[in-house]
Formats: sequence, C-alpha cells, structure tokens
Amino acid sequence: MTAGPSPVSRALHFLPVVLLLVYSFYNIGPMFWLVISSIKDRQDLFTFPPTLIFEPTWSGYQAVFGVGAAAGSAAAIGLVDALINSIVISVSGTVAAVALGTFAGYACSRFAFPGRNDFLFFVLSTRMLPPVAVLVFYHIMFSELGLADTRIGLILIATFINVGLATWIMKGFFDGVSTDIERIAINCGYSRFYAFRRLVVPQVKGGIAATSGFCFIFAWNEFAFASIISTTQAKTLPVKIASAMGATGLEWTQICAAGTVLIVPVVILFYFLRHYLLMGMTFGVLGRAK
Amino acid sequence: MTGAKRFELSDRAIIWLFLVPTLVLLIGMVGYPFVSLIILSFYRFSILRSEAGREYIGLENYDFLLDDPELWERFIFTGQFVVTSVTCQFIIGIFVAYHLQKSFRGRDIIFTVLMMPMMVCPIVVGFLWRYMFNSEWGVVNYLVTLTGSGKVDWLGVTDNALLAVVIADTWMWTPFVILLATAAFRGIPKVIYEAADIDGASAFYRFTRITLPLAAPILFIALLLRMIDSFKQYDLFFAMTGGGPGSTTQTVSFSLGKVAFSYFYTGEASALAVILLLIIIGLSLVLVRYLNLLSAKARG
Amino acid sequence: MAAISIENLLVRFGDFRAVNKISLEIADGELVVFLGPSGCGKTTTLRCIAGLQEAQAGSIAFDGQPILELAPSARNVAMVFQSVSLYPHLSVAGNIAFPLKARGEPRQAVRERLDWVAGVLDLGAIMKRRPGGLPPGALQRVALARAIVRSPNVLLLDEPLSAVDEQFRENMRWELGHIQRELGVTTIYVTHDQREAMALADRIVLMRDGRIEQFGDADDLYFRPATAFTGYFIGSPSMNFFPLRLQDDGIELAAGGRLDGAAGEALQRALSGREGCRLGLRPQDLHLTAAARGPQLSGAAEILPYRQGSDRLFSFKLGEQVFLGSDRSDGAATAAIHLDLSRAFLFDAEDRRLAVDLGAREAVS
Repeated sequence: MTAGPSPVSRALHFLPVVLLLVYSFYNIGPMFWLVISSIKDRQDLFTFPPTLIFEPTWSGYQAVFGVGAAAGSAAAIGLVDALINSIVISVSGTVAAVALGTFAGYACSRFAFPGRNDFLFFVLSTRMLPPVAVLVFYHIMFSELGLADTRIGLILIATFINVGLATWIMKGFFDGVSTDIERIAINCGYSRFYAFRRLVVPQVKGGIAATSGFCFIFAWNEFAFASIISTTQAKTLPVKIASAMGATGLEWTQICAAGTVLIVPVVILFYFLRHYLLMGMTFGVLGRAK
Repeated sequence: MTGAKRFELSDRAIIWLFLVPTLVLLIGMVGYPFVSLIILSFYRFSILRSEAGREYIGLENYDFLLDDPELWERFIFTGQFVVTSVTCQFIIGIFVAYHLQKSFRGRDIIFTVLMMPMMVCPIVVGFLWRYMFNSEWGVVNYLVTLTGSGKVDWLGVTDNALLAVVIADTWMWTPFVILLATAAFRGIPKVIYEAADIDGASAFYRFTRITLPLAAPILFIALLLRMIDSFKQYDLFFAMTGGGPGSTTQTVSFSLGKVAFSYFYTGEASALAVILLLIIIGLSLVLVRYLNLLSAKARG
Repeated sequence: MAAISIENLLVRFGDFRAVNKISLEIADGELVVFLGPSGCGKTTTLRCIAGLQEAQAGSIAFDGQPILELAPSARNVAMVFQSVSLYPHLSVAGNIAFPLKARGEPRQAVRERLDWVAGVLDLGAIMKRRPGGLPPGALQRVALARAIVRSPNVLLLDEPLSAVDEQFRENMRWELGHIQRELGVTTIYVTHDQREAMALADRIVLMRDGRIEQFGDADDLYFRPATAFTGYFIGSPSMNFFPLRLQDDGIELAAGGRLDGAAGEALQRALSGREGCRLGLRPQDLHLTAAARGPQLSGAAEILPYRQGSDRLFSFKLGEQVFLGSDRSDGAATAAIHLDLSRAFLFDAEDRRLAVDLGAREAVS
C-alpha cells in the first residue's frame, strides 16, 4: 500500500534544511568576520588565505574608545557624551515615533475618514527623500530655529524619519485585529479610547515591538543628518566615531571595531524584545466593521 | 461603569487627536526642505558660492538632466539594483520566516542573531563587504577558490559590482523582511491550517492559496518600505564601488550625492532629487493601490 | 461511509493521559455523540480520528483499514471546528469549493457539487459573500457545507453549535440530524451538552477523565446508567443522590431523612452487607404530593416549591444537602414527599449501579 518515500522526495525533504543552513552561514558569517577583523592586526587582515588563528590586537577598540595606545587622542574626549547623546536621542526618537505611529495607525485603521489615503501617502512620502538632497536645507532650517547642535533637534530628526514607517506598520497590525472586541466594549458603554488602550493595543504588542526595533535601528545609525546638525555638543556616537578615525584614514581594524561597538546596544534591545517580536499578530474572521 | 471615562471623547475627536500631532510634526519637519527643494530646482545655485546668488532658469536644470543619456543609464541601473535586491530579500525572507513558524528550542536566540545584519551601521556594512569582496585577499574569493574556480574581480567589473552590492544589501535587509513576514505568518490562526490539511491541501497549495494571501497586506507594506529605502541606498555604493568602475555603478542616489557635494551644483541636485522623488512616488502609488485591494480581500 | 473501529487508543501529554486506552466500534452511517465534561478527552479523540493529534498507542481503522499512519488529507474525513475555521479571504463559494479544488477536481464537477450543497443547506443567497460579517449560524452552515461537499467517509463535528445563539440552535440541530440521515455519512459529534446528545445521537459515548464511562443509546444512558456519573450527567435537572445507611428500623437517607421499614424492603435487602451506597433518583421521580402513594420520605426540611418554566419543582434539605423533586401537591397542606423506588438506582461505594429490583412500577397518575 504505502511504499517508502522515494529518494527524490527524501532529498526534497532535506532541501529546506540545507537552504536554511546556507542562509544562516550567509547571515552569520559576515557578522563573525566583522568581529574577528576588529581584533586583527594589520598584517593578519590582508593575508590569503584569510587567517582564523592569529594574535589578537586591541588597537582597534583602543582607537574607538580613545584609550591605551590612542589615549589622549581626539577620540577619548567626548566619547561618553556622544554615547549618552546617542542613547537619549535614539530612545526618545523611537518612543515618539512609535507613539505617534500607533495613534495614527489606529485612527487610519478604524476610521475611513475623508483624506485618509492622502494622509497615509503623505506620511509615507516623508521617507522617500534621500537625505543627501536636503541636508543643506535642514542645516539652514535648524540654524534659524536655534536647533542646531541640540539634542532636541536631533530627537526631532530621529522621530520624523521614523514616523512614516511606524504609522504604516502599526496600521498593518491594527488591520489584523478584528473589530469585534471594540464594538462589544463600546456597546457596553466603554469609551473608544478605553477600548483602544486596554483592549486593542495589547493585541498589537508584536507590532509595537517590531516597530520599536526598526525605529531604534534607523535612529541609532542615523549619520547623514547627525553629521550636519550636530557638530560639537549633540554629537551622536556614529558621527563621533567617524570623526575620531577620520584622521588616520581607512584603518580596517578600527572600522570593524567601531561597527562592533555600535551594534551592542541594538542587540541588547532586540534581545529584550525577542519574545514580543515573535508574537506576530492575530487575524479574526468575525465582524469586520470596515 | 468602572473603567469608562467620565469625559468621553467622540470618535471624531479621537481621529483628530490621533492624527494631528503626526501631521504637525511632519509638516514642520518636512515642509521647508520639501518646498525649498522644489523651488531651488528652478535655479542655478551653489551653496559653495552662495554669495554669487542664484539665477532663475526655469526648467533648464530638468532639461539638462533629462537630456543626459547617462542619467537614463543610471535610472536603469538603479532599477536593476532595486528590483534584484528587493526580490532576493523577499524570496529569502519569506522562506526563512515560513520555516521559523514552528517552535523549536533556542528559536528566539537564533532569531535575535539572524536580525543582526540590519543593526550594523550602513557605512560599516559597506566597508566590511568591500573588504570581503577584495579580489586579492577577500574572504569571498577565498570561498570561491575552494570550489575550484579562479578569483573573481568583484568590484572592478560593473556586472560583478552590481551583484556584490546586491549581495551586501540583501544580507543587510533580509532580516527586515523576515521579521515582518514572521509577524504576518504568526497571525494566521492554527485552525485554518488544520482545516486546510483536512481539506486535502498539499503544503504548496496551502502556502500559495492560504498563507500568502492572508499574509499579503503586511508583506506588501514591507515591500513598499523596502522599495523606497532601496532607491535611497547610498552608503553601500559609496563604500564599495565609489560609483565605479568609472561611473558605471552610480545609482541616481549616488549621482545625487556627487552633484550635491562633489560638484556642489545645488540647483541641479535639487532637480535631480525631484525627479527621483517623482519616480518613487509613482511606483509607490501603484503599490499602495494594489495593497488596498489585497487588504480588503484578506480581511474577508 | 465507513465503520470506525478504535482500539486501545492512548494519548498522553507528558504524564497526563488525555485519552486512556479507549476502544469502541462505530457502525457505518451512525451518528455517535462523544459527550462529557471539559477535559474528558472527547475532543482529543476526535482530533486523533481527524489526524490532527498524534496518539502514543492504539489503533484506529476505517472499514478495517488502519488510518493512524495516514495524513489527514489521506483519510477522507471532514471536520467542522468549534471556532470559525473558514478562510477569511475566500467567498462562501470559494470556501466550499476549496477541498475540491485542492484535490484537483475539474471545474464542471466543482460547480455541480457546489450547486448541490448550496441546495441542501440553503446557502444560495450568500454564496458570493465573504465570511466576515456573517452571523455564527451561517458560518457554521458554510463550514458544514465545506465538510460534506466531497462526500467524506467520516464527518467530525467539534461542538459546532457552541457559538450559535440559543434560538437558532434547535433549528440547526434538527438540520444537522436531517442531513446526516439523508447522506448516511458516519458522523461523530462532540458536545458537553447532554440534551444535544440525547436529541441527535444514535448512540452516545459518555467520557470522563480519558475513559469511556458508558456507550449506548439515549435510552440506555437515561434508564440504565452504568455508573453514578452517567446518572448525574444525563438528564436535567440532575439526578439526586442520597447517601444510604441501613438502620434497625429502616433506611436513613442523607442526614436525617428516613424511609420507614415496610416501604423500602427490597432496598433494605440490597443494602445488607454493603457500605457507602447511594440512591439515585431523578427529580421527576420524587414527588411532593397529597395522594398517599409509595414510600414516603420523612425528615426533610425547608421544603420550597417553585416553578421553572411550566415545570413545578420543589427543593428540600436533608442536613446540608439540597435535593430537587416534582411538585404535584397543588399547595395541599398534607403534602408529603414520596419516592418512586421503581425508578430509583442503587449505586455501590464505587459508584457502579447495582442491578436490583427496587419495587413495582407505579401506576402513572
């Protein structure tokens, strides 16, 4: 009745596993290479075949932090400030963008108000501008408004680059939550805001986590605007590191060290969010209002 | 009734309250630059020589740009890059997300690790891949030689360079797709899969007729966002190819950077930016329309 | 159509045995109801038959062919789930046609089957609509249509009416029964509602804690409960249980209730030598009446007549326990509590029913 699986179908069964392993290698390999290159001495960097066993050097990290061999250099001065700046700006910007996006996304999901599509498209369009094209204008604008080189200014930047993304993703998640529960609550006399806050928002925790993760990444790595706007006091970490290394030219070790260091806060954030990121969303069938 | 606010907001008030802050912020942040951009595109101006003032030249910037055959080549090149890269990200991303659906031990750790490529600073990514793609001692060529072939000149040959940047870009942004696709797939109730199994659907049929259609709205948002971001890709080209060999791997965005900050033809750069914007807007409109159709269908 | 044969089916979740080695035979074309309280294993068993749940031991066969090794799609079963399992992005017609299309049926055949099913379940008006926005009753009819459209061997229903409004449940129950008889498809219906079971089933499998408590038709379970649990679960209002103690001059029921010596002779004989027995008596067989009839219960406190719909019931207390009976007193002052022992059940200390003749049947008043 049932013969054993044919060799072809057995192979097909393993194909996904093989492909996943290949992707894992593709994904993790370069990360591994980044970290390992950050502790390679100059001569070990350019060997062929590439070396995996070598004498590690910390000169890259020293340059980034301005300690050890690089003590007293421009790097050390202001590094902690830059770190604090980056954290404050990125966290604030993320919180603001996610909050605005959640509210706007909910409104756009639940209410088919006139101009909704225009609003959504406008919000999305703020993401379409290449920073290169408008850096000048922001410099002028911020200088005029006294926002140049301030944390507030950069927080505004961090927020505005992310609101479009936040709104669209949150709307997508809200669309996936059935309107049943809200309607029942409202019929029972609860306010819509209450239904929103207590009943609907908890169902999109996955979306909030994902949006927060993305917004933080974009805010944290934001370089173009930050380098133009923040020159001394509000310097963010990427800018600081770039300028500190600029003098010595392209030092691969240092670049890789800088890259590794910059990832750490983001990894920490994603690690804490991991449960929510895997939560996903819920679809319902019964009772769609619009 | 406990929990109900004494002061209730009507639905109308809620709409306003939820939308106005966003609107105000965005108009405030984007208004002046947007408008300036458009205005300046009609002028001959350079911020470097701002004392020289600016000269109104109407559509001359546009004429100049659109007459340039190289610009069209750059558009085509940009299109090739965007289509290839985004397609790869989605095929791989959806595949991985699909298989991450079942729970297994350590899944959340593995997931966090897989997310890492998109966390790296874009410029660093560019330099890293440039380093890895080096034809003499890069680790990519090392792996290539392991399969028996000779070393490939990655960044010195246009087609290879395009492929190299696509590989780097895909590496960096596939996790974005994985994250959103995972969320979308997780949202499909288990019962529906059980019903499909009992109804006799093969895994493929189930994936194409049920999983994808129900996940489509979120996937399209992801597509929209990735497409828009890909057009803006600058750091990778800057770090890996510098637009070369020659100027064959200049995307429109890269070209924009050059015109704005190497040549400092600010007026012309603005015009170029407007053209790029119009193209992105056009494509987005098409996608958004399709997205609305898909959403309505998936919601039932 | 298929006869189902289950042998020693075991389903374990860790140490917990959800289905504890059950065996049963279901005839072709039968409508069997799996009945029982939550967690008794009825849904788990159903899902095993469907192929959605793995069994650790035992076997299930359709017409003699073992099916546990087969994937759900290969078993030719159909299922209506408790929660809505319709495909939200497809129309009603699309949903119903799905199993046919998934198996590659040609278009013409699909259309014919669709028309037939739409006729049987009266779905013509909503064929083009999407599931979202349809009331639960309609949704389950569509789910049923999707299930029967490919004439499955076995039809499985997991509490399909639990989400449906009370007023529509009767109608749907009737429709279901009617369709099942017309199609003659072997059907298994899971529910915790014993009235539903009694109304629909050819035979009932009463389950408890992963085991089969009793397997028989409605009359078997109602008139010949094998255990106290069956007696309690079937019938509403629920059966009364009186702990019994044999005394020198009669029988003590619960705390302070007494049945005098002459009345309960047969009962006394049955009780001699046994400890911990209980008397099961349905409220319908326990009367508050002025007419002297049969064994009388004395010692009851707080006798309280009340109405439930058109039924006239009364409650009373013996010690701390409350019992229910039928009020036939018309408010007579001389009313007393009489027990119709011919309809009583005697359960031993292990809650098994003892086959004892407890008295002649009363003349119906």
